[in-house]
Amino acid sequence: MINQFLFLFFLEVLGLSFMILFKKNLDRAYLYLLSFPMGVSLWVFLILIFLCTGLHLYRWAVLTASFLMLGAFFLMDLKKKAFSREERMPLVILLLSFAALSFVFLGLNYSFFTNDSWALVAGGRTIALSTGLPARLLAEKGIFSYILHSAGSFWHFDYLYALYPMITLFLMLFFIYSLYAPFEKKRISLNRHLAYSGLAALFLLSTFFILMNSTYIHSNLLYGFYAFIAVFGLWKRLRGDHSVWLVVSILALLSSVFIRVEGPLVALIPVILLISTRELSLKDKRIYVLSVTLAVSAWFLKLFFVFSGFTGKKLNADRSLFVILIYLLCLLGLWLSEKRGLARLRSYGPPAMLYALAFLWSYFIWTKGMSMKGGDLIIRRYGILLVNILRDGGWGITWMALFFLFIAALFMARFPQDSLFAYTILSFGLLFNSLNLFRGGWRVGWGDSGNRMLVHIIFILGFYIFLKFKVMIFKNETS
Amino acid sequence: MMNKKLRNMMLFLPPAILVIFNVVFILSYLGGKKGYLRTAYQIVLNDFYGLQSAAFVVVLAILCGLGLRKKISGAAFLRRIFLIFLLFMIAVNLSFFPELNRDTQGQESKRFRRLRTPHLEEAVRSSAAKSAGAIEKYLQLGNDLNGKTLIVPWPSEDEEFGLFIGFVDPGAVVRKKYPYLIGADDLDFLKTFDARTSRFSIKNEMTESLVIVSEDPDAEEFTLFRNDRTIFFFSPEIVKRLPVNLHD
Repeated sequence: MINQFLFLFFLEVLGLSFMILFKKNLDRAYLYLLSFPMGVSLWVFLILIFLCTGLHLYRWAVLTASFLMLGAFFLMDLKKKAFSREERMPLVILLLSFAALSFVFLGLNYSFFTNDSWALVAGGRTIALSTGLPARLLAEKGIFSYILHSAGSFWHFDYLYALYPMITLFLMLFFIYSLYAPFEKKRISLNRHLAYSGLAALFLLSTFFILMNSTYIHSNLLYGFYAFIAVFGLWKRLRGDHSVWLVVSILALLSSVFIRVEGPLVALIPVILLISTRELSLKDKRIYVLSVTLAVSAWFLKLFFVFSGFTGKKLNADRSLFVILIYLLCLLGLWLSEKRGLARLRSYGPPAMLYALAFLWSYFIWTKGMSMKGGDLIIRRYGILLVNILRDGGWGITWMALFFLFIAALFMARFPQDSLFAYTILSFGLLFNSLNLFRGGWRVGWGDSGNRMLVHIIFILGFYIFLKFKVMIFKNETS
Repeated sequence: MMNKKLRNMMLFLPPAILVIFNVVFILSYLGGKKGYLRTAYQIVLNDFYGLQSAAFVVVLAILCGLGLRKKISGAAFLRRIFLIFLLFMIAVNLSFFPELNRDTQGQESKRFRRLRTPHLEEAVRSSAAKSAGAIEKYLQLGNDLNGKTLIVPWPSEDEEFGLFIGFVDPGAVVRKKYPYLIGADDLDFLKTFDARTSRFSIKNEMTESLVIVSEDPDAEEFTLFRNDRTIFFFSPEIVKRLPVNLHD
């Protein structure tokens, strides 16, 4: 137990020492709330560098590299004089609270395991102990969770069960604060705004399936959190906040890419929306698209070689090349969007993406339907999805309420740059439906893969809806 | 003139009580003191949704009345409506927690049974009939195994995943993915994992363990119709190494 505590505490300190570098340009609450997810990402990226470069994951090497990274951030913090006297007390309180809460979660192990969970835990061990990258593992799931669970080998604990409640805690606090103070340039009164944000978060948390995910050893909740941070960070930057939000968004988007097999495809949605916008400078766009493309291409090039001679069900060598190709096409798209003659076409980007995804979905339905006994199977599959959303998926009334609120929100007064959320949600919905047609194992119950994937979008959707309603009902009190 | 505080209390108290009641109930259930509270809950709130809906309508009516008498502004009216709506959604969501939908015998409540569509019931029944014999046959084997130590090696690189652990809801159809299924209804199994030796052991604390091993590699699916939620999948190689002769 103590080893797992030390690992989680290390991740928090790592994330905090990284985020403190941006303390002049970031709201303190965001700085603290992003520290843990960023710490998790940074440590995973460190191990990813080991794996990409073919370095063997010796325990001493991983521990040395981890502490070297922490030391480097700490030195940079000291150089920036980040730990002033008034800074120290909140940091100490934060770290003590983190320690106390992680001890609580370490003591109360209500882990929820499925065979997927087992595959993650066992896969983590395999990654830590084997000399090469096992193609069989990487063809089924993203590398992110495997790496996280490989920590058990380096820090000597069995499996990482306390991570998920801690992530849920940070996610909920981040959700509440981002809803409470989305336009933090203007100070707002605490009571009613906080009550509203707290109730909105509680509404999501009172959903059985979301609460279950807080102890479920899986990647869904992690993905949902990082996808939310990525889109939220991009939105903050679009609204003119400091470019540190771009860094946060890039790190979160890359984390989401590595968490799930379909991650690279879903990550294209914010990338395309970013290319299409006029609100960001060319420099910002180049940094964003180039860094995401380089990181994704480097990893999938590695996978291309790992998969040579191996036929994976979800990922294989051909699909790895396909991912590299579409990201290179995004770079080309960015270059073309800078051309004077084509620049005015940029605004058509988001609707064009929606139409393309809708066309893709229709095409898959039509072609799959022709091969599935006149579409009976497709109707049955969507029937299962609907039954799960409304009854057996553990969602309670959540999706029914969110669906109607979303429809209402689309027609309500806009808040700045809200189309980023609207397009992300609609595009995700279409992509989700298209990808769903290719998977097997449809079943009634929460364990259905499509049902679990709904966690990926629910925080972005919830934020969009509740912010829209908040803008409307607190009209006279927000900026 | 109604006191402002009293008016707000009237508006927010009913949904807040429902939320608190649900939370207390869930906590008490988790804490193991379920008997009395559960009975009280069922007597007081037999038709939970009916009561919640009625309370919601009453609160809305009070709000509308206040709005019409211009006691509160339009923005304040909207704000309260939405906050109350959120409170009710929380209460309804909590009442959907699976444990709340079972009666004292652990059966699904009538409300849930009523919601089941006939074709799904039929699908579950037909697949259950096919595999019922196989499962019943191995229930006894499961009982025999209970309490004995089972050592399972950590899956190695050159062997297919040796062991999978999965939770399956009662009534769910388990598609055949691996020919050999072994199940146990207790997470304690996981806690017996020893990182140093990379081994699990099933110990006597497992009260409701159930082991299902299919010897029919061609079986397409199994249906679990008891409250068995966990299934362990073992590869044929590992089953051969089990310390108990499953074919006796």
